[in-house]
Formats: sequence, structure tokens, C-alpha cells
Amino acid sequence: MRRGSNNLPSTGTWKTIFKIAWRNVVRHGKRTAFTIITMCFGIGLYIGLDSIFKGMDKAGLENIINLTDSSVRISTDKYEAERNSLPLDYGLSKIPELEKYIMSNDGVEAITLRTRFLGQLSNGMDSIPVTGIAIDPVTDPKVFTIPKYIEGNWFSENSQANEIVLGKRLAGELGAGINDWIILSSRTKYDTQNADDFLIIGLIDAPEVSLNTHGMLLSFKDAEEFLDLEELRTEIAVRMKNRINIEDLMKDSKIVAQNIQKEFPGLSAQSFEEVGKQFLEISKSKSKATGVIIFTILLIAGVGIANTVLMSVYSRIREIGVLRAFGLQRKDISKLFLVEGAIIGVIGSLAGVILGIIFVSYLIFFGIPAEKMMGSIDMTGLYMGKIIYGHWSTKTIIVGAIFGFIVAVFAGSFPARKAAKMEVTDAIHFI
Amino acid sequence: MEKILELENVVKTYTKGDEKINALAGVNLSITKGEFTALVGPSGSGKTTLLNIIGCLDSPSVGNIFYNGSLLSNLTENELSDYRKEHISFIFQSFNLIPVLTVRENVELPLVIEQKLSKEEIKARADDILKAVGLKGKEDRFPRELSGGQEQRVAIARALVKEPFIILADEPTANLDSHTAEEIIDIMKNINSTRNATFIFSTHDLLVQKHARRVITIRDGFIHSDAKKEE
Ligand SMILES: Nc1ncnc2c1ncn2[C@@H]1O[C@H](COP(=O)(O)OP(=O)(O)O)[C@@H](O)[C@H]1O
Ligand SMILES: [Mg+2]
Repeated sequence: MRRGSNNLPSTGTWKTIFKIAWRNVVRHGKRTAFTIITMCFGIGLYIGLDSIFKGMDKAGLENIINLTDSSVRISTDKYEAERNSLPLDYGLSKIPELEKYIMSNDGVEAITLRTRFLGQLSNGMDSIPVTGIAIDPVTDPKVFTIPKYIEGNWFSENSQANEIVLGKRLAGELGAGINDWIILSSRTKYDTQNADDFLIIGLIDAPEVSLNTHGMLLSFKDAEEFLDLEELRTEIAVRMKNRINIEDLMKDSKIVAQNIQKEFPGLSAQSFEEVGKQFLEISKSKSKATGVIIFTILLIAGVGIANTVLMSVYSRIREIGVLRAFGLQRKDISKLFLVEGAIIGVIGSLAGVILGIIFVSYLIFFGIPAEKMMGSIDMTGLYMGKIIYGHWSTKTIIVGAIFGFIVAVFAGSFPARKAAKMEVTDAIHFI
Repeated sequence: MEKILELENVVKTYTKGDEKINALAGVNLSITKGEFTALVGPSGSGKTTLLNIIGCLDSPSVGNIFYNGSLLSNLTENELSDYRKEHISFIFQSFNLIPVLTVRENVELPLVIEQKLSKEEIKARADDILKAVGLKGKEDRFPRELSGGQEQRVAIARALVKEPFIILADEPTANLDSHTAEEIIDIMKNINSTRNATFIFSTHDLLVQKHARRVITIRDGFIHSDAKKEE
């Protein structure tokens, strides 16, 4: 006996399989709605959270570039090893040569010198530890954007007094304001204690917690005397030419850092990515944690789909029998229910993507206050911006949709297999 | 007379726990084209089992079945499936229409599965058979909008649309009131004579049974009597 050896159902059969599956999904709208809503929220949340985490990372990196460390931060190896204590040792040597070399690199726009130190600010009653940064008031704004966030004044060329600019929150805690005098004490380069009165000329209100809470700037002119610096410079900060894509800026900065290290053994040049590594790790582990949450939600959705399709199988046992009697094979029956799961998956994923895009759009246009995300604990310090904006990621959206779809098909495959396993004679006469 | 089906010493044994049940205990039977045969006998006598085996839904434990002279044995499940797809149709006691498909879609289904005809041919065939069972005008209804008698007429149309060489009906009237049951049997008989389609149906309803041209009585898996009526 000859018969057709077409193993795949033709388009006509596929069409019928789709038609039956689709109408069953619609027919049991209520039953499937819950599953679809769960999936939708799972995927939407995944896309939204990923967007905000990416936005936080970006905001954090931008803070490093613009406010704290610049695109490439250069110190001596020895200084780098003891950076935590901000020693007034291990200064840079052959600075003019070094500067000339850095400026000759592609993509470098500006550089500035800095010397950091640890100090104490006191209003006469309380004293608070601060991170002092001695800067060049003319070149520093070419690398950092701190002046953008200053209330009051930036350093003037020819003032007579000792002047400082400090974090707004820090000033608030000391009960001090612009034009108040405050006592700064610190160890000098020769490890003697020194203290002096400084006039507060400006307050920093930047989207960067560390600056706001313990940042303090003064000019090299004042620092020279106060810290016995003798031209000691511990750090060079580099501003790179702007790139639209932060990944490109990352590459540019890395190349410059590598060049410098190669050219000047004994120097350590860190791109902003390396500086930010620590908090990028934190946000990575955060997105892992959300990954677990999303996985749980999708698991619930998966169980929902499996259950929905299983109910569909049980309520249609005789239908399965009829289709088998009219010549559909086991694998066609399994397709019928796989398609049903897949339809739920596609709707759920699509709804999730739409919800995700709504979340992301909101996050991109309005953002959310950092405090709301993190609570009042600034465990990450670095990226406590005021408002964190979402980041658009097509990849995340595609991953979310595909993952949702795969979960649905996988979940549907169990009841589908069950349906295919039924004996046709039992199915037809099933009461 | 053209013999289309021949059963040779067909035995079907079921095992329930330790117990072996001979649902069919050696059935010999031949069916010729265009017969209108009733299968009668008490509940549990083996009617359904016999119809399942004739319909390639199940295989006999022992014995041979010849379809149009060729022996179908050692066929895989999928091969049996393909055979059913082309040559055999079923009518069921509880109609078993696909609830989400319209009358027309239900009737077209076997042809869609069979994949032999064009869309237009399928539509023409469905129209033709729906007219024959008196359902013209109800093509776009869904099964839930029909009465039991109408549903069974759809099932008959569905069984006949692909012009199978045999139509098997297991208790096709058991879920219908006696008036509707006779109506359904009339339609089947009518199609049997106009299209020369071969029917075997099981029943325990005497009113239905009397319409048959041949009555086979089964008891305990054996053919107890086989009576052909002259018209
Ligand atoms: N799948 C099965 N497993 C075990 N026993 C079965 C099965 N199907 C039918 N039987 C037994 O086979 C015998 C014949 O059943 P059946 O063909 O359904 O009779 P009828 O249709 O005439 O009522 C009965 O004793 C029944 O219990
Ligand atoms: Mg029976």
C-alpha cells in the first residue's frame, strides 16, 4: 500500500491547528488572562529594572568622569597602592614632559593636576573628616564639571583670603554657609599638624554623594602654604573628547591609559571603567538578584501556562480522539497544544514588552529619585544622583520577549506530551 | 459483489490485572460495498472493540483483516493513522464535533487533514454534503448553537465528506430521542443508497436496528447471528 510520506503537516493543517488553538485560547479568555498578566508583569519588570540598573551604571560612570576621577586618572604606582590614605608622598615627577605626552594622545581634550589629602573641618564645636582636593581653579573646570553645581562662587584669581568650596550637605552638618569662616586642619607633607581659617565661598550640590557629604576643594595657591606642598602633585586627571556612546569613550580612555603606562613605567593610569569596577560589580550582583525575582515570576507564569494548557487537554480529550481518528498523528496533537502554549507566550511576551517599553519610556523621560531606589543608605555612594534615568536597551527587550516565549513553549510542552500519549480508543470514548 | 472488508479469526484480548478478557474471541466477517449493517448485542459484548479494530484505531491480538483485498498487518501506528486519514470515517455516540469550529469547518476538517484537494474543491464537497444532510444555511453556526440531531447530522456530513470506503458509527443514536434517532438513521440510509457508501453501526435500539439491511448479533465476543434482509 502506498501512502504519502509527508511527515510535516501541510500549511492547511497548520492553519487548522492554529485556528483551533487560537479559538480555544480566546474561548477560555479568563483562564488564560491571569497567566498572561503574570507573564506581562514578569517581562515588563525585567525590562524596566534592567533599564534602571543600566541607567544607574551610566550615571555612576558619568559621575566618575565628570565629578570625581575623570576619564583617565594618573598617579604613581606607589601612590595608587596607598590611595586609600591619600598620602602626601609619591608625587608625580617630570610633570611637563608627562603633560605634553598625554596631550599628544588622540582624543584627549584637557588635563588638570590635583593633590588629594585628608583633613578635618570644624566649626569650633564639631569636626568632620573631609577629603580635600587641591586644584588648579583654571584648568580643573576644563576636566571636571563641578562649577556647574556650585552655589555661591568659584575660586577667584586674586583673592587675598584662604578660600574653600565644600559639599552642601557637609556645610549643612557643620551649620555653616557661604561667607562663613571655618577651621580646616590637616597633616602637612612633613607630617606636622596644621590648622587655619578658611572662607567658604561656594557650596557643591552635585549628583554625587561623596562630594556632597565630604568633598572640599581649595586652590593650589592656598594649599601650597597650608600643606607645605612644594609643588607636590599626586594626580593628573584627563578629559577625553566627548563620544555619544559611553562604550566608545570607554575604549578611547582605555587606550590612553595603556599608552601612558607603557610610556612611563612606574605610573598607574586608570580609565573610568577601572575606577568604577567596584560599583559595576555591585550593580551586576543587583541585576543578578532581580534576575532571580524575574525568574521566579516567569516560573509562576510557566506553571500557569502548563496548568492552563493541561486543563485544555483534559477538557478536550474526546476532541483529541476525533482528530486522531481522522488521521492526525500523535505529534500533530502535541503541536495543537504546543501552539496553544506558544500563543499564550506570544501574547504574554508582547504585553510584557509593551509594559516594559512604557516603564523604560517613563524612566528615560522622568527618571526616578535615587533615594527611592536605594533608600537612605548610600551603600554605593558613587552613583547617588538625584534622579536616575533609565537606559534604553533593545537587547534586553528582545531577550525578555524571547525568554518569555521559550518559557511558554517549554511549559506547554508537558501537557502537550500528555495529550499526545493518550490512546485514541480511550480518548474517543472518554466520558 | 465487491468485498471490501474481510476479517479472519480476529481475536482481541485485554488484560485487566491478572485477568484476561477476550473482547473478541475469533470473529470471521466479510463486508461488501454499499452494505448498511447494524451490529447489535448486549453491553460489553464487543461491539465497540470490533468497530475500533475495523477502523484501524486498534490492532487485533490475533487474526487478519483485509481491506480491498490487501492485508493490513505489521503497520506502525503512524501508518494506521495515514490509512484512517484516507479511507475510514467515524460517527460517534456523543457527536464529538470540534466546539471551536463552525459547522462548515468541522465538515471540511477531514479533507484539510487529508491534504489532497484544493480549497475550492474542499468547499464544494462540504457544500454538497451539507445539503445532503439538510444543513444548508447553517454552515456558519457553532456546534453549541445546534440541537443534538443537527449535531449528529454535521458528524455524518463530516464522516462522508472525504468519500471513505467505510463509515463506522458506534451507537450513533444513543444520545438522541427516538424520533430524532430515526431521522438520523433515515439520513444515513439515504446516503447509503444514493452514494453507495458502506455503513457499519452499532446499536441496541430496536427501532434503529430495523432500518438495517443486515444485522450482526454479537455475544461474548462471538458472532451469534448474521441476518441479511431482502428489500
Ligand atoms: N481498554 C480496555 N481494557 C480492558 N478491557 C476492555 C477495554 N475495552 C473494552 N474492554 C472489555 O472488553 C469487552 C467488550 O467491550 P466493548 O467492546 O466496549 O463492548 P460493547 O461496545 O459491546 O459494550 C468488555 O468486557 C470490556 O470490559
Ligand atoms: Mg460500546
